[in-house]
Amino acid sequence: MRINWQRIPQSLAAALAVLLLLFGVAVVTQADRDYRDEQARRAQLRAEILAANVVAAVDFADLEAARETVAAFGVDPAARIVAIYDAGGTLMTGMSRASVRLPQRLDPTFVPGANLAEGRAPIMRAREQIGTTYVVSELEPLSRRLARYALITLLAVMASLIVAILGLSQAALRRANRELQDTNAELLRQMSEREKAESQLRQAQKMESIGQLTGGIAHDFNNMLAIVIGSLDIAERRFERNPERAKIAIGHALEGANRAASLTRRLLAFARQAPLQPQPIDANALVAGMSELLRRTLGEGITIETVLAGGLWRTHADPGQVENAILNLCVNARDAMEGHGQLTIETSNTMFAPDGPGAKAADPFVVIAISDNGPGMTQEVLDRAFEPFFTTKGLGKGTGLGLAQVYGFVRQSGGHVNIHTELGQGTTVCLYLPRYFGADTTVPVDEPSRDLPRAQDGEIVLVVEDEEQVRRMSIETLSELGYQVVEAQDGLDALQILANRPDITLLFTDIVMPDMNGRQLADRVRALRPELPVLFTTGYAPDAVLRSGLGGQDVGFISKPFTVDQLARRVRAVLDGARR
Amino acid sequence: MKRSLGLIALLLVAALAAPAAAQPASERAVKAAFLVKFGNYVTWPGPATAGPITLCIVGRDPLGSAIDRAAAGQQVNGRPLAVRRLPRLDHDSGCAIAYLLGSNAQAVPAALAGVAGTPVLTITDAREGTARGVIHFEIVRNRVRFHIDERAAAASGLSVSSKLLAIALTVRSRMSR
Repeated sequence: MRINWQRIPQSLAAALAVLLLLFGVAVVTQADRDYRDEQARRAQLRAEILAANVVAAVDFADLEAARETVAAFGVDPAARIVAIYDAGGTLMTGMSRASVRLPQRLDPTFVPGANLAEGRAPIMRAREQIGTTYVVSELEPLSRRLARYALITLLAVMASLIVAILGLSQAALRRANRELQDTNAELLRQMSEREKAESQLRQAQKMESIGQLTGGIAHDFNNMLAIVIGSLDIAERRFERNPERAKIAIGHALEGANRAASLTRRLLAFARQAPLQPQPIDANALVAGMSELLRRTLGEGITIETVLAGGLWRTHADPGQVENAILNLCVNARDAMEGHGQLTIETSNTMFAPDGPGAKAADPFVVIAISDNGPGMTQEVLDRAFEPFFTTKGLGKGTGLGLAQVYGFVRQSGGHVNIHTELGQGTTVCLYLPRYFGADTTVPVDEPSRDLPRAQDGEIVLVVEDEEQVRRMSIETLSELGYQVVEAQDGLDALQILANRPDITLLFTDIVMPDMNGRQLADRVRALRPELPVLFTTGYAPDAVLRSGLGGQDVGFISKPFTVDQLARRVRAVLDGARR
Repeated sequence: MKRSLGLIALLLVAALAAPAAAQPASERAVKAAFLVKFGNYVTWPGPATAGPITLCIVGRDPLGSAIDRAAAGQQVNGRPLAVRRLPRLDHDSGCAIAYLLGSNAQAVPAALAGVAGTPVLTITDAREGTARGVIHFEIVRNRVRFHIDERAAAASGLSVSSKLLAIALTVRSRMSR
């Protein structure tokens, strides 16, 4: 049995010290008592020895001999009375010392005094008592007694002191140890926190740099696309009377370009630098509307089941992005199941607190959950799932952007994404989108229309765009729609033109321009012509534009690339809004 | 008549025969007391017997009734003391203790010689003569003291307690030099 000396509590040491002290006191007291008893007995012994020695002297009344013997006994420095009494109790001879009174008669009630022991012995001749001896001696001189006590007390005190010091040093040691442990624990905690913070920082930096990269790429790409789409659109119209084949080809090109545009939009959304166009949407309707698309995209091996909750709350998000997200997740599910399996899309209402129950009050969310019964994800894959360019699919089969983009879009919409996975069982991805408490009207998704709003009389648009090709395209498009168009290539130019042309009815400006950006231009214009409606456009808008709100009556926004359709509607909306 | 005359004559003779001892009454009492006490400090040879110890007053009796008074109720080693008065001491007299005072019939030295070697505690008195028994009374400084001849005691087979020796005037030691 190993004794952990450190565990012996301080109280135990103190108790031991006290016990030791008490024991010492007890020992001293007992020893003292024994000593005194012995001394008392010695007085008695002396009396007995004296009695034996003076038998004849007393018997024969030889006082001289008796006196001699008494004197011999009186040599003992502790002796205070040495006396012989005859059979009648009368003093025969005796001595006393140190102011102790020698009694003349043998008196059993005589008390010799404090600190004195007495002894009486009968002087026996045969069986007859012929006298009594009486001896009184001092027990112990006070000084010697005190010295004795002092020594023992000193020893006991020293022993107790040692124990106490040991106990105290032990306690101090234990305290220091505990402090050390606490410091150590604190150190470890701080280290782990720092690691966590560092990894979070790394993550954020990664996301940011990727965002910048993709943003940059998307911006340029976007501009090219804007040209392509616009040109094709125009070409389609111009060649309306021409052979159908041209039209079909152009249609395909348009479709492809649109898909590419959609991709860049996704990239931008991920980079958090493209404003979304959130609207109140009914997730059930949206999912239902996608079912055909999903069936076509996922293939026959996948059984699709939709469980749409009744009374589903409305949510407020960009419907295109929601569709993209769902599509992305379904494609991932299909790939995980390798083309065969069960896919379930479920919608529901829930109260969700992102930090776990109780940490923060839960808010109402609409949940869209996509589940598969594929192989599930390992912990390593789960940890990196939302990382951009991270993919478990083979080369050329996945961009690794899907989940990252979903994450970006959902976060931007004020929601959350959760992944639940179990190896061998499957994976469920839940999208939490905040409940929308606003107006009940939901805009139906993706309603193509051939009914283009056109310009009305006297509507003149000032197009401000620093990139020549893009400017050309915008001018062409607007002309096509029947608007008169004036162009400027920068803010200064625009202001000059505006000053000279009070008949301009709309300012259509790019936001990101060198020297003076669109926002600044709009502010300057407002000073000149406060009632002039403004339409901003960009493929690369800073957050400020989005955050400042685009709800103003005469401020509109259209993101590049836009179709003729979209531009027509937007311009019309802005102009109509200003007119009211 | 004849008997009473005889008695008177005896008394007269006894009175005339005894020398003018001139012992004071206290001295007689002390000696008597001593005599009856000596037995306690002496050990006789042989097994202990239960019968009384005989204290013989041999010769002129100076003590008179004092000895009877002293002996009354006194015990020696648990044995009662019996007092006898004898004119002369022989070895078959049956005395354990003999106080030799001398008489016309027998002088002290002769008495001593008569019981020499026998376990008789012989006590003599300086008043009577110089011949010494085992114990020899002498008045010193007005007090009754005594000498002890331990050698003689040993020769008689007697053993004298050291306690008695301690208070004797002189002791003739048993050890030969």
